[in-house]
Amino acid sequence: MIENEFGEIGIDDALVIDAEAEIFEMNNGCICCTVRGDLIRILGNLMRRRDKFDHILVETTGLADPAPVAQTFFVDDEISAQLRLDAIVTMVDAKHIVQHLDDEKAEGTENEAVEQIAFADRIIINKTDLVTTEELDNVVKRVRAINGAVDITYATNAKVDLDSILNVGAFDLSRVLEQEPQFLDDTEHQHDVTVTSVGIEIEGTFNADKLNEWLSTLLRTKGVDIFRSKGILSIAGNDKRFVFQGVHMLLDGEHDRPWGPDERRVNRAVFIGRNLDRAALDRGLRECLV
Amino acid sequence: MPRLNKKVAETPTPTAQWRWQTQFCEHVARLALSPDGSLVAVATLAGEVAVVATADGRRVRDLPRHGFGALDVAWSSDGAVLATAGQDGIVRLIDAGSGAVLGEHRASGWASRLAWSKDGTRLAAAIGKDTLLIHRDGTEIGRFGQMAHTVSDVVWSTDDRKLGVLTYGGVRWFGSGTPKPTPDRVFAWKGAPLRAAMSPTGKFLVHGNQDNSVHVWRMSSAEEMEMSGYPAKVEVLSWDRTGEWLAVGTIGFTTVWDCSGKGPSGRRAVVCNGPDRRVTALSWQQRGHALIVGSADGTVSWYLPTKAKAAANLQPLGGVDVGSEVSDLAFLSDDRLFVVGCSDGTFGVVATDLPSAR
Repeated sequence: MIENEFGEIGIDDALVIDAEAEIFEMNNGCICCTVRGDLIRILGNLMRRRDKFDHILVETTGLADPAPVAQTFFVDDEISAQLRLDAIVTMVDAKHIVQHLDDEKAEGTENEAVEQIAFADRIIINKTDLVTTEELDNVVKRVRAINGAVDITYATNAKVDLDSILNVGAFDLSRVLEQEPQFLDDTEHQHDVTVTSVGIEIEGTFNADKLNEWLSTLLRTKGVDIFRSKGILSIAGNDKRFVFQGVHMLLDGEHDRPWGPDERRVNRAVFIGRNLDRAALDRGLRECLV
Repeated sequence: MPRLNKKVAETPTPTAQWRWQTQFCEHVARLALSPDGSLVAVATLAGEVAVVATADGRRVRDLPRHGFGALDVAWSSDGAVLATAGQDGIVRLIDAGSGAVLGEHRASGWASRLAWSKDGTRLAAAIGKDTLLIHRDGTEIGRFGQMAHTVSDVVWSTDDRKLGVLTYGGVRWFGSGTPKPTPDRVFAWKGAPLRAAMSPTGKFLVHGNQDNSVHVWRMSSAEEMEMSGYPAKVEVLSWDRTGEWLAVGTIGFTTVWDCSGKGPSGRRAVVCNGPDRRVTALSWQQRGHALIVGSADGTVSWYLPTKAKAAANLQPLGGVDVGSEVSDLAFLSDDRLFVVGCSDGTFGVVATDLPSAR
């Protein structure tokens, strides 16, 4: 699960966990408190060592539910104090993904392929040499229909530049919005999908209290269906950008760099999830403007 | 201004005056005092296991290493056998006198927790999803049924007749004879218990949990009590020798629950205010009633909780800075000195300003 195949520090074989995932649900029944016990144990132990890490890559199986993995970085106080979830990277098999996306799932069970694409901050479409240009276009369309905000990288034999998957900064939306400006419009999807994404771009500054109230109410009431949320916002009275990212009901935000003197204060937010109401999200966010 | 007052009140914690100090190359995972207090066994995340004299820090013996890191070490009650466990999935029993390996047992996963029966005849060891029962002569008595989840802790009843196995979902309470696959009793609890502690009186079984709570079972009736609202998951629990006080460490403070008489239900805890960081280790005096609290900020503070102070916020009686995050500590038998291991491998004995028990 956590494996080090490169680098000079040989990390133990013992860190490769072959057993099935240990999913811990909490007594309060909240799905957002669901964490991965195995991950807490291993990361906790890694962080105790004197050799410090720049990055930790956690590889899950293709069938893993991404939510408990991501939530572990928010919910477990020891992990969240020492580690920051940089990005969720999903590798997509260009040849077979469409077939998996179309898998009929039993009522109440999730399509793992859809979920893993929805949760991703970055997607690597692999095996591009095995498909035609038309097939690849179709894969991209299908991926974008689920997760319009995601940054896509193409690869053969899974060869990717490490820089493209490390230090991503999950909240960094500027690049993807440059690449995919139409994401902000309610584009017509080719397929009828319930898992989709909504991007919102607004100029202005937000009232911190109103925004806080709206976001927390939104995630408390709709957090089960909102898989991911992220954004870069301008807050009244603060010279720095407020960047946030969330998983279901959990949100992690901070002020990062100052806005430039000539920089337009363009607020960008993205929500990815099930049955999202674009108009309501857009309206709700606008009402928090000063 | 209040800010100014606070600054004046904040005196820096004095640097620890070490009686002796030594350095391991990695994080001290656990330490264990021998029953007579003359020796301390140390397990480090580099895999080292060493026995050190508490009087002067002399390294008495180096024990076989555990690949990938040693996680626990425990003495039998007579001090004759030492058990060690590590991330290599191995549990070893060692003759403390000669250093001879009496037995070595393994299972899939990390060997993370060890617990000797009070009479010192048997060792329970958690390795991954397995719990092994090992005789002090080094032979394996048997294994309890493999759990669906990793065993987070093992705990004996005070009469040694039962063994509690903690996993996600609660505590399974097995007869401690020849292991049987099914438990005699299940303390079902929806959540992830992390650490267990049996009160010395045998009245209460408590476990600290991932969901920032402490759960208490009254053994006579299986009545349940819960202390919730901690700011962090609860992994640091310690009963005093009388079984009247239960200390629970968390971020920024330690709560001490009065469990005498009818138990903690309806009572308010004594709150020992500590540094802002996580409490990483607790130890009660062996004869007295003082508690030492080790913190992630590298300080060790001492407190004297009393019933008269219930619901009060206690400030430390004293404290020292040991230089690096505390990972484990224990009072020595004079109740004045304590042995401490740190995250940077620093290890040694430090004096408190508490009166000596002798």
